[in-house]
Formats: sequence, structure tokens, C-alpha cells
Amino acid sequence: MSKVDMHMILKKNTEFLPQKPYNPLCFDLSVRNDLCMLDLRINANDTLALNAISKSLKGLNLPLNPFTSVQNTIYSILWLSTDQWLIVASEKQSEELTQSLNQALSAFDYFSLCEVSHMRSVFRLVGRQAENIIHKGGSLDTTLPYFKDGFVKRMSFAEIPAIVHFLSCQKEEQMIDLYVFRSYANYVFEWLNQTGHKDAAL
Amino acid sequence: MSAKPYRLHSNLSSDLCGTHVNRNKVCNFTFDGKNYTGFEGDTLASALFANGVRVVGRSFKYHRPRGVLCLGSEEPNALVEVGEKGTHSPNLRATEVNLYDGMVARSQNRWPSVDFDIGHVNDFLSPLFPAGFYYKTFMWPASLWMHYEHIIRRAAGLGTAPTTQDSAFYEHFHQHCDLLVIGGGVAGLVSAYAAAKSGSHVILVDEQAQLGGCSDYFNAQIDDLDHNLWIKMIISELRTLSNCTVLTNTTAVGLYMHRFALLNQIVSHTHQAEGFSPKARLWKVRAKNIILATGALERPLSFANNDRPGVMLSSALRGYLRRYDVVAGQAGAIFTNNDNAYETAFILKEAGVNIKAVIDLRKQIPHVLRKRAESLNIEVFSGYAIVDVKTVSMGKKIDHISIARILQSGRISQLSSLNVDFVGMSGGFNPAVHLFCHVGGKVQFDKKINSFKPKNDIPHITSVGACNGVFSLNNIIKEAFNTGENVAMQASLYKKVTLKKPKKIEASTNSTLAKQWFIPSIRKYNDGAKHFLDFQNDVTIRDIELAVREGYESVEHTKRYTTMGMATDQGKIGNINALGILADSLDIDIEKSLTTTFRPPFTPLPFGTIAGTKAKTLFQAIRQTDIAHWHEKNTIDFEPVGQWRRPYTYRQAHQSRFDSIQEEVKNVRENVGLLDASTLGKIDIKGPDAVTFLNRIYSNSFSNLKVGRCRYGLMLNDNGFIIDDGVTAKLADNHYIVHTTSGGADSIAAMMEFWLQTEWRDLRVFITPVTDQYAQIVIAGPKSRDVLNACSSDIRFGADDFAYMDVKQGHLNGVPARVYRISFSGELSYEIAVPAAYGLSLWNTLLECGRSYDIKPYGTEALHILRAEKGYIVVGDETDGTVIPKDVGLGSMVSKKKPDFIGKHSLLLMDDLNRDNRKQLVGLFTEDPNEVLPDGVHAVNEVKKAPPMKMIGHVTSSYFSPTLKRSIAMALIENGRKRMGERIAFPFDDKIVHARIVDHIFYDKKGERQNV
Repeated sequence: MSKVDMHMILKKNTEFLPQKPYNPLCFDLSVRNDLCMLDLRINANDTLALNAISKSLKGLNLPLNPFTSVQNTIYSILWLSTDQWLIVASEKQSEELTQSLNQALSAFDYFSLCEVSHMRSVFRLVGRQAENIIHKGGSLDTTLPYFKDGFVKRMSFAEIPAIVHFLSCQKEEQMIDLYVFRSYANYVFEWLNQTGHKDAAL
Repeated sequence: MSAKPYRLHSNLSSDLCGTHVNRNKVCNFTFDGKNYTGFEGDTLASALFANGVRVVGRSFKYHRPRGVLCLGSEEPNALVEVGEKGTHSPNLRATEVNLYDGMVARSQNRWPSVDFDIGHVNDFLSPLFPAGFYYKTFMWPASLWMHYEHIIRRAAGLGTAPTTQDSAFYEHFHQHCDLLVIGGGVAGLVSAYAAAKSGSHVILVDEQAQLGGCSDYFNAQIDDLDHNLWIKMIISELRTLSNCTVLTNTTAVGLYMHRFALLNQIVSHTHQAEGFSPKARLWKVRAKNIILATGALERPLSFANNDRPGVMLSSALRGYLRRYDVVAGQAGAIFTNNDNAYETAFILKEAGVNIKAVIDLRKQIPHVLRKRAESLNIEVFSGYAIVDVKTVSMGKKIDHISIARILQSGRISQLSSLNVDFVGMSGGFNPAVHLFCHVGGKVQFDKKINSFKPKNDIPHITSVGACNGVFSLNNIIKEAFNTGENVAMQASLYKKVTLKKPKKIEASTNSTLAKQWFIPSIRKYNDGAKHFLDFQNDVTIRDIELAVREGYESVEHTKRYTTMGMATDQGKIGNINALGILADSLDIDIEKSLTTTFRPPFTPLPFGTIAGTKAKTLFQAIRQTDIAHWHEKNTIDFEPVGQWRRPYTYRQAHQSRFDSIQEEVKNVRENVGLLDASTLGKIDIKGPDAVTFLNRIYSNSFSNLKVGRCRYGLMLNDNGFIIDDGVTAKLADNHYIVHTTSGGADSIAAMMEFWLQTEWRDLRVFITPVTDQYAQIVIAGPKSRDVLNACSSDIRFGADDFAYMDVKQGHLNGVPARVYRISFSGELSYEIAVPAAYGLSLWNTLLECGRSYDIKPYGTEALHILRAEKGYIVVGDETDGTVIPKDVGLGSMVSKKKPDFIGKHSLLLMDDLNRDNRKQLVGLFTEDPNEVLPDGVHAVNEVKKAPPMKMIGHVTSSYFSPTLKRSIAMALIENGRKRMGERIAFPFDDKIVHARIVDHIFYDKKGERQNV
């Protein structure tokens, strides 16, 4: 790499998405900007590969049950489909995590690991009304017996593709991460500000 | 008596009369411009009653004065507008409009006023307006139809549409549950209670503001207590259960397959809801089980002039009394064929209302009823009927009724009159089967109740109570407990509990009702005395009989010919009577005539409710690139591309759109331009079989594509037609990135996944759509290399190092970047992809580095002109879903060596795709170089004076080219490539433009500019 003129180093766009809601909302809304996300696709029956991945994730196994997630203090892994997971960590972990996984998977030829940190924006919804906001956005069955903390599902939210991750389902302390494609983030932010207005609480 | 003679201020306990109104809160409102007052808790209908307003609307066809007929959502007459003119909501039923202070309401379908309506002349001319008159009367002369139509439309119709934007906020809410109970009467409450106590997730909905259904206006005892106390206990227990959601003011408007229900919840009762508080919320409920407890609707009796203001359903009379403490008049009579209406007479009489008589069609009346009537000084006429309703004030007020004995022959005798100003009628009760029928449920005729009831043949949907034809309180409660418990047992969280079931129930029972669809009158009913069946659509017995005489024997045909059961009524009020008349006229059993089709919505719902949040700024989901805010600051011209909004041109305030676009094109040709291409679809493809996968997805081959190289690909569908195109780059062995069109990215990714998961499960390939991960910027023009060289990068951009169709990965200004040397403009061009959040910074840096090279951004229109000059196609412009590669000159991109690819078999086997004279892509030069043909205009060989003319093709793209300084166009013309130089014509907009067919590549045919 040639020497880079410091003033020309590209900077992240921090103004693409507002950080604070402009309306008084019936839940707490924050934007999670500091995440590293990797999209992993691999055959879930490939035990050797799964073991290798587990080792590189400091012993955390990929969740194999549908609609579940696992997490430790460093990583969260969201089940997306029978052969797809989203690995989420803090931005600081990005390089180490990517290297570690690439190294672990280097012995295998049938997998896909894509860096997708910029692909999605993540909204965190906290409070008693958080689940109701999700229900305003789209169809999600929260009466299922396996709806519990860690529940994750892809859904159509406000008519756009989204992933919802229920970190806590407890009525008083609901905490939900809503993953949407970055290009929709401003639309979703606007949608949350209007539909989540405190006057619109159920 | 109070200042309002029709509000009773009854001496009875307030628990029994006026239970819904709060006399401490007065609401001022206007109706048709006049000021009135009511109480909080009133409906508009009850408040109008209290103020003595009897005429609330005019009928649809004859413009007869009409009053309130019912208590609830089945009301056919009292359709009103609420709100200031322009922002009003039309067609609201006054019986469902909750009164609020400041309400402005108006009657509809009248001119100039509801009291004096010119359209009433139709009533006197009614012999000219029989059923289907519009099919007959206006057949001749045809030239006058436009005038007839105008007059008819003005005279008919239901309300007027508002003219300004609805400022209220609406929203949707999705929910799942184990059990949805529709109807909050006794049956619904008990079912919900039984299921919820047993652990099921239950949603209970009722269209009224208070639960309990009609329990507040009939008398019964449960375990020696007033049944209302027992019901209140059930309600309060339900409200404490966290697994039970209770929704009042919520109408189930539609039931659909897989137990999907639409519920319209009225959240704010004021016309203009404030801020973001929703006016209405549309619940979309997916239930594992549904219990329908929708009750029954009282049937009118079909006697002469049964539509006069003051003639009401019997149960409605006692409902208005019990809930709102209002009565319809000073003295009344009850006309019935069953026991239930006696309850009305007794309740009203006990409340001090002058009920003069009960007129009963039956000759045999239960002794207990007759005795009680006598004790209350109510005269009972058994075997009698009302044969006419006489009015004063042009039909607006009842003067007296004529009653007569009905003989076995159907004739009448012993005619007498009774001075009353209101009438309660009851022809029995029809189970409300509408929702059950929405979802395809079949009904059966029950002779005992003289009506149709559900067959209960839909799995997981059960009707209970009156809507199932069960009318005894004892049986209703028993059935509801059983059904609720049975449903709960199927739920995953079932727990066995002991339910508080009543031990002793005392309620009135019904004896047999008289079955008589047609009530004779003094005159022949064809001679002016109308017997209404469908009040909302002004359908009389005469209309049904006429339809039968004219051959409309099927109930569905009769419905359409007479309009019976259409519009918002959907057969709630007059349907069964009409079916009975139809069956009698055809001399068949009513069971064979069946019902008309009840369609959703059960009651109308506003467009705002249907739209939900999809209005104003949230009308559509909009996608933005990371550079969007910069674009917004630098142009006002955007165009939609899929869900994206892309800059059309970066127009300065002083510039015309045309000049701006032309300058952008020129700048790319002469200097360098910058385009935000982040919207392009990007799909990451990995796996040992990736190349096999690409070979099957695209029509051309990728077998020999080397790492670090790009290739343009054409994607076809099964039929061989082009559906997408784009450049694929090989990043490493078994690793590719595919670019798709901006609008096609999602569907192409879904299609790829579909093939991998269904037909090609043997291929070891993973696809990951990554469109949003990257910002992608095109830098195009002869000076683009100079600009990139001014940036800091470990990538060498020189011609020798970075050839046309190469892809290189490295860093640009400190950030990982992937650079493609591809061109859609025909110029030296690079596309740079960086992680999305760096897109804006890269854009600004390129602008800064390119300042000395006259760099300028260009929009999508310049992009299109540049590619059109070069003859490149755009999927969706040059293709329309019927175009194959050969048609657009890309036949060489159909591999003959590959064993298979999507569309191959169609291209090989379909004769039509191998015709020589298919429409082919050609260029066009208009004879006048300044004449730009419109997109889509059709070409003809020979211009005739008038159509039809044989069309030989159409223009696919057309622009004024600043490079060629003339208009250019591309077109698909029959056998076009063999017609080079021919002159063809384009007739449009009253003129004819001639053009010459030329090669569709207008500029740099050898590609020398992009290969430098």
C-alpha cells in the first residue's frame, strides 16, 4: 500500500442515521453503530467445521435450533436458517474475529463467510411497549412455546426484510434488537418515531 | 319529563335505564346545521332520538324519509357524514358513532335538505323505477346515456368523498393467539373465560363500547342474581387475565382462510384524532381457533310502509331505553310473530312508555305473555297484522297504523286503526352468519327459527350461541363453556382448572314463531304501498317478484338484478325475508334458494384504516445510499428505481433540466463524471460448484473466466426471455461477486436461492446478498484515471496494470476497496466499491481529487443517454418480458456448448423464438434531428387516416444526444436488422414523425474509448 495522505483517509459517515429519536416514544430507542457482523453459511451437518468454528469463537457453538441465538460476553450468534448464521461482536473484535474464523475454515472448501458489518443497521428497542412495536411492523408469533429470551426470527417489518432478536422477552424488561438493511435505516427510523410515539402506545 | 321529551329520566334504578350515558357530561353537537345536546356515552342515534329528531336520512332510490331502524352495526338507514365538510367521514352509521363534544354531523343522499328532498319525487314516480330499471329505461336513445348517467349518479349514491387529505394517524397491529372470540355477548364472554382460564392466549373482540352484548336489555336470573351481575363478574375476571386481550369498539370486518381475521378497532372517537394517537387500528390476527359468538340480528316484518320513520326493530327499542334512556315516540305498538317482542312491550311499559298494543301474527299466544300484557294494560291482537302505516308531514311522522285480522286465505278483515307514533317490529332472529360465510362456511335452514344457521363445517371455527341458532340462555352458556374448554385443550399451555359454572338459570323461553314472509295490506302492494325488504337498497317485495317473472331465479341473479343485499348492508337486515319471498314466488322450499354471498367487510372501514401507516412520509419504504444526504443537498430531481430514489440530474437553480442533463453527458465524454451506483444489486457467490451455478444461471459461459477478471452476463427465465443482466467478477477460485440491476437485486437473489434449494441441491454453493454492504461509485470519462491516480491507493490504475474488464482489490485512501474497470458509458471508467459507511467520504474525496479535472456528478438520465449512445441495453427499457438475447443483438451470449442453463430449452425448442422476423433492436434517426420520439410510441409501415394500422414495433429508449448533436432512439422493430436504412413512421399526438432505421450503436462502435 502506498503512503496515504492522512487528510485523505476516508472517514465513516456518522450522519447517515440520526442517533436520537425526535419524538417522545413509548419505548427506549437507540442505534447500535459499533458492531462487527459476519454472515456465515455452512452445512450444519459438517461436524468438523462446526467444531473448528466453535474453537475460534472461544467455545461458543453455533445454535442449531431454529429461531434461537447464543451469546457470551464477546459474541452473539443468531440462527438465520438451517445453514446460515449472523455472528455479531463489537467493532473492535472485527479483525481478530474475521481472521480467526477464516483460519478455522481454511481447511474447508464449502462455506461462505461474508463481512456484512455495513450491510445492516441495528435498532435497540427497550421497554414494555417494545414487543408491541414489532407487532405493529409485521406478523410475528410470540405465542409460540419456544418464544423465550434469545428468540430470533427474520420477518417482514414495516414491509421491509428484517431480523428481530429478543434479548429479553420479559414483559417489564423487553429488549429487542431490530436488524434492517442499511439503505432502509432512515425509513425505519422515521417509522419507529411515528408508530412508536408515546401517544400511540397500546 | 325532562326538557327532552324522549329522554325518560326514568324512575327506575339507573342500573336498568340509561346505563351507557353519563348525565354529568353534556356534549354539544350539530346535525344538519342545527345545535343539539346529548350525553357522553350516547351514540349519535340515541342523541338524535333524545332530541326528537326522527328523520336522519333519505333512502337510496326513492328518497323516502328514513329514521333509525336498529341499535347497532346492522343499521341500514342512518348513514351520516361526520366532520367538517371536506375532511368528513361519510357513510358512518349513526348507531355506531359515539357522541363527543363539538361533533358536526350531517345527513346524506338528499338535496337540498333531509326534510325537503327534491329526490322524493322518485317515490311518486316509482312505477317508472322497477327493479333493473337502469337496464331498461335508458337503453334508448344511447346518445343521451351520458346525461342520464350524470343525473342518476347525482340522485343515487351513499355520501360524498372527502376532498382533503385525512390528517388522522392510523396503524396496523399483527397478533397471533390460540383463540379469537368474536362477539362479547354472553356466549363470547363465557367461551373466552373458559379458554383463558385454561391457559389459552385469547383475544376477545366486540364492536360495542361495552361488553355483554344484548344482555342489558333482556331479563334473566343466574344463580338467583340478575344475570347482568353474573356477566359483570365474568368480564372483570377476564380483564385480570394476562393471557386474555379484550378489545371493545372493535369490529371483526373480515374472516379469511387459515383463520386470519381483520379487526377494526376504533381508538379515537373524535373525528380528527390528535398527533400520532391513532384514530383506528387494524388488527391482523392469526388464530389457531376461532369462536364466533356474533349473536343474531332481528328480522323486520314485511308490511306496507314498514320503512316509515318511527318503525323500528323491537329489540332496538328496548336497547335504546335501557342503554340511553330514550324512546322513539310518545305512544307505540309492537308487531311480532314471536315471543321475544313481548319483552320489549313489557320493559317499555314498565319504564313508563305508552305501549298501546301488541299485534301478533300468531293465533295462539303463550298464556303467560297474554296474562302479563293484560296486567300491564297492553292490548294483545292475536292473528292480526299491521297492514299499513299512515303518516303525516310527507311521510316523516307516523300518524296511525292500520291493523287487521289475517284470514287463512291471506285476505284481511276487521280493519281498524291505532293512534301510535312508533312501532317495534320483530320477525324473529337471524343468526349473524356473515363472518362464517366470509371464510367459505356453508349454512343450513333451521325451520324452528325460520332462518339459516351455520353448518359448522370449517375446522377450528366454531359458532356458539345465537349465531349458531341457539337462543335459550341456559343452552348458550352450556355450549359456550364446552366450546371454550374444548378449544383450550388443544392449546400448548392447557391447564385443567375448575370453572365457575352457573347452577341455575331462569330466562324467558321462546315458543314457535309464525312463518309469514309477506304481510298483506289494504291496497295491493303493487299500487303504492311498498313492503320493504332491503331498506338500504330500497328493494321491495314487488322487485323480487318482478325479478322472478323476468327469469332471475337464482338468488345471486336476483341479488344483482334488484340490488338486494348489496352495498354495506350485505344482507344483514332484509336478506332472509327476500329469500323467503323469492322461494314463495318460485314455489320452492327456502332451503333450496340458499343465501346470497356475504362478503367482507362486515361493516365498512375507512381507507385510512386499510392504509395504516402507509401514508404521508411512510407511504412507501424508501431506500437510501450513504451518499443520499449529499444528493438531497445538491439536486431536487430524483427518480424512483425500485425502492431507491436516485438523482435524475444535478440541476442548478438557474438551469433547465434538459441543459443540466446535456452538460452532464458532455462532461463525461470530455472530462470526468461521478455516479452513485451503490444501488446496483450485489450477490456474493462462494463454493466449489460456483462456476457450474453461474453457468446455469446465465445464458453465457463463465467456465474460462480468470481470477481478477469480469464478464457481462445475461440472465433468462424458463421461457428464454431476458430478466436481468450485469457484470460478474471472479475474486478468487470459487468466489464471485454478481451484479444485478438495481430493481432486480432482491428477486434475483431469491431466484438463485430457489434454484439451489429445489432443483440444484447437489451444487455446493452459498449465495449471500450484500448490496447494502458496499457503496459503489462510478468514475467515468477520459480523465478518470488521472483522478484515481491523485488518490492514495495500492492499486495501480495504469492501462498496462489495470486492463478493461479487470477487477482489483486493495486499499483506497486507507480503506479496503474493490475496483472494477467496467464501463456502461463507453468511456474509460472504473467502479469503486468500499464498505458502505465510507461511501460519502469516498464521494467527497473523488470530487476533491477531480476538481482540477472538471469532475462533476451525473444522474440517471445522463447515465441512460451515455449508454444509449453506446447501444447498451437496459433491462426493462429494451426488454419487456418477451425479449430474447437474439432480439437485442446479444445472440452470441447464448452458449451453444453449455449442457444447460435457465431458458435454454425454450430458446431451442420454441418455434416462435426462432422466427427470423421477430422484433429486433435497431437504432433510429428521425428525419428532423431535433425531434425526439416519445418512449413507447408505436411504429407503423403505412400510416392510415385512422386506426387500425399494423404496428411493427415500438421505441424502447429515446434521447437527444449531446455527443451526436441530434436525437437518437432505440426501437424493437419487426425484422429490424434486415431493414437498415428503411423509413418508418410513428403516428402520435396528431402528427406523424418519420425515422430511418440505423445501427443501434451510435457512438464509438469499435470501443476504442473504453479500452484506452
